Amino acid sequence: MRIRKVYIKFSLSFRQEKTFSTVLFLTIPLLLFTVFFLYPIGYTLYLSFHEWNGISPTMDPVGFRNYFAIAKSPHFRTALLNNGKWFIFYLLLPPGLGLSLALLINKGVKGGSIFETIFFLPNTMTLIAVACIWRWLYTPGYGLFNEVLKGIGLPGWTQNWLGNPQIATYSVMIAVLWAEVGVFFIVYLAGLSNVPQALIDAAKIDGASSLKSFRYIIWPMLAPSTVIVIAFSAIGAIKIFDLIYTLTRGGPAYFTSVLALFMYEVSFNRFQMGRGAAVGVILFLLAALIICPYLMYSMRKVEDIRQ
Amino acid sequence: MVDIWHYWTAGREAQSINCLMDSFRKKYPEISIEDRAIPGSTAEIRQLVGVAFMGGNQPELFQVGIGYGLKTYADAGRLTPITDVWNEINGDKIFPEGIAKMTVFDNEAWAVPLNIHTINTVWYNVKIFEKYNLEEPKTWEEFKHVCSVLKENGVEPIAAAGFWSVYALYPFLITTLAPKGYAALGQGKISFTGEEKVREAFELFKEMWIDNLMENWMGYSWAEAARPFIEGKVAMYFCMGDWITPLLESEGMEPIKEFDFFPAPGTRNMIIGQVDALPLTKDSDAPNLAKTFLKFSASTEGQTAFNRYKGSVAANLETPSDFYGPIMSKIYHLLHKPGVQFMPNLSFLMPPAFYTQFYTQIEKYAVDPTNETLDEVLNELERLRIEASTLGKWVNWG
Repeated sequence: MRIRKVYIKFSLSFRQEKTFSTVLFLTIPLLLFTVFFLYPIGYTLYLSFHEWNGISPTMDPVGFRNYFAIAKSPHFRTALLNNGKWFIFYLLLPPGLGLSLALLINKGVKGGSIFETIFFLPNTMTLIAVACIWRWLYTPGYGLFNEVLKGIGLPGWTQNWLGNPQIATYSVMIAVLWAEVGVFFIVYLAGLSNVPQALIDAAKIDGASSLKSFRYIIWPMLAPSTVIVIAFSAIGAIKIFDLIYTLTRGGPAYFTSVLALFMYEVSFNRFQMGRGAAVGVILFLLAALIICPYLMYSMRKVEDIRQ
Repeated sequence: MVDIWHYWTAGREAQSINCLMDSFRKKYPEISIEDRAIPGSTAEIRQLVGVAFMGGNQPELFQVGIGYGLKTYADAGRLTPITDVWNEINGDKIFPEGIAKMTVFDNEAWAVPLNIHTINTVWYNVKIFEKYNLEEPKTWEEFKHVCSVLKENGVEPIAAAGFWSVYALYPFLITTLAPKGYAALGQGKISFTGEEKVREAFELFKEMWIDNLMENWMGYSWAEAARPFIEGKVAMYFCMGDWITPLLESEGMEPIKEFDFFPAPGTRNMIIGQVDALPLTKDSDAPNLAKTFLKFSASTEGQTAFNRYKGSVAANLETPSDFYGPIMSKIYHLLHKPGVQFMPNLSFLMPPAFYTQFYTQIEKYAVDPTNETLDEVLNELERLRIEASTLGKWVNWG
C-alpha cells in the first residue's frame, strides 16, 4: 500500500500577511502599554473608591466618599486654582520667551550657537539642583536677589520671595521659566529653520514689515511647532510638582500647592492612598479635558495649513 | 541577619545608629546586623516599608515614632508584639509613663523607645540677654517683657522657620488647656470652636510668638533661620527642638556660654517630646536575633551608645548622664526632676491625616494672624475633627 504524503500548504494572502506582521510587532508595545499605562490607571480608579493607608493588607470600599471629602477641602480648591494659574503661565511665558529667543538667534547673531547652548543648559540640570540654586537666590536675609536690591539702594524692594503667600507661586514660576524655556526655544528654533527664506524675502520685496512677515508667514508656518509647544505647556501645567515641592513644599500653608502636590501629600503624608488616588483620577480627567480637544483641533489646523 | 531600616542618613544621626550597631556587634559578634539608611523622613520610610511588606521582604526592625504611627502598623497586623522583651527589660519602670502609654497598647508592647527629643525648648543668645540684663522668663508676662526690651533695642526677638510654627503652638495649648486638655485635644475630645480656651491659646500664640517673629521668617528653612540667631541679629529661636544643638555648636557657638535654652513658659515642669522607636515586624526572618538587639537597645549600654551623638536624651531613665554635653545634660536633669511629666508631640496622638492638615492650618494662621483667618482655621479644624470622629480615627491613649 502506498502511503501518500500529504502536504498541507499554509499560505496567507498578502493582506493577511501584512495584518499578521502588524499584530506581531504591536504585541510587545501593546503589552507594555497595558501593563505600565492602562493597568495603573484602572487600578488607581479602583483604589479611589477605597480607603487604604498603604500599610494594611486590606482595603475598605467607601464608594464616592473620597471624592466628596476632596471637594470639601480648601487645600484642593487652592491647588486647583493654582493649576489654573500654572496653565496660563505655561501657555504664555515659556512659549513666548522661547519664541522670542528663537527669533533673535534665527536672525543670525554672532555666536548664535553659544547662545543656543546657554539657553538650553538649564534644561539639562536636575530639578533638585535648580531648586537649590533658586532657594539660595530667594533666601530673604542673604539671598542674592535681596542682597543686590539692597546693594543698589533699593532695600524697600526686597521681598520674602518664597514666604509671602501673595508672590510665592510667581517666584516659583520664574524659576520654572529659567529651567524650562530651553526646550521651547529649541522647538521653535527648529521650526524657524523650516520656514523658507524665499517667502520672507518675497514679502520684504512686496513691502511687508517684519511684524507683518511674522504674522502672515512665519507664525502660520510655525503651527506644527506651536502644537508641540502647547502640548508641552498643557502637560507641564497639569503635572507641575518637582520645583514646587523642593522650593516651598506647597507652602506657606498650602498657598503654592498644586494638584500633583496635593495628591502626594494626601497619599504619603496623610497616608490616605485611596483619597490620593481620587485626586489622581481628577488630575487625569482634567488633563484629558484640556489636552485632547486641543490636540484634535490643532492637528486639523496643521493639516489645513499643509493643504 | 538582623536588618534595620531608618532615615538617620547623615551627620551625627548616622553616627548615632552606627555607634549603637558597633556596640551591639562587640557584645554579640555572632549576630550579623546590617542597616539601610533611607533618605527622607517618616513619609519616605513608610512608603518603602509598606512596599516591603507587600513584597514579603520587610526588615526585622525599622524606625518609627511611638503613638499613632506605631499603632497604624500594629493594627494592620504588620508587627510582632514584644511584650516578652518589654517585661524582661522592665519597660514600665525604665521608660517615662507618657512614653510607655504610647508604646504599650491593646495589652501588648510593640516597640523599644530609643531616645527623647525635646521640643518645648526656647533657645536664646546668652550674650544678647546679658547685654540687656534679661533673665530667662518663667511666665508669659515675663516673656512679653523680654520681647519688648529686645524690640526697643532694635533686636528682633524670635527666629522661626516655615512649617515649624505648629511646634511653637504647643506651649500655648498647654497654658490654656493644661496638660490634661492638651492630651484631650490630641485625642479629638475637645472642640476647636466650642471650647473657648482653644481660641485663647491661638490668641496668646499671636501675642507672644507671631507678633515677635523676625522679618520674613516664613521664607527660611529651619537651618537658614538659625543664621540670624547665630549672627546675633535675633535673640531667641522658638519652635525648634534640641536637634538644633549640633548645628549651633558646629557654627562655633559655645553651649551655655553663648547659647542656652529655657522651657517655654507654661511648660516648666514637663518635657514635650518626640520619640524614635524600633518595632519588630511580623514574619521576619530572624525574630529572636532581632529581640536580642531590642533588649540591647533598651539597655543603658545601648541607650548610651545611641544618644551619645544623637542630640537627644536616652528614653531609658536609668541611663547615666556622664556622656552628655552641657545642653543635653541640662535637659537630662530637667527630665529627671521630680514631678516632671512627659507630654508627647501632638503628631503622636493625632491621626496623620488630621495632623497634616492641623499643622497646615496653624501655618496659615501664623502667616496671616487676623481674626477672620482664625475663624476659618478653627472652623476647618473642627470640621476635620468631626470627620475623623465619624470615621473612627481618634485613639483614646488613656
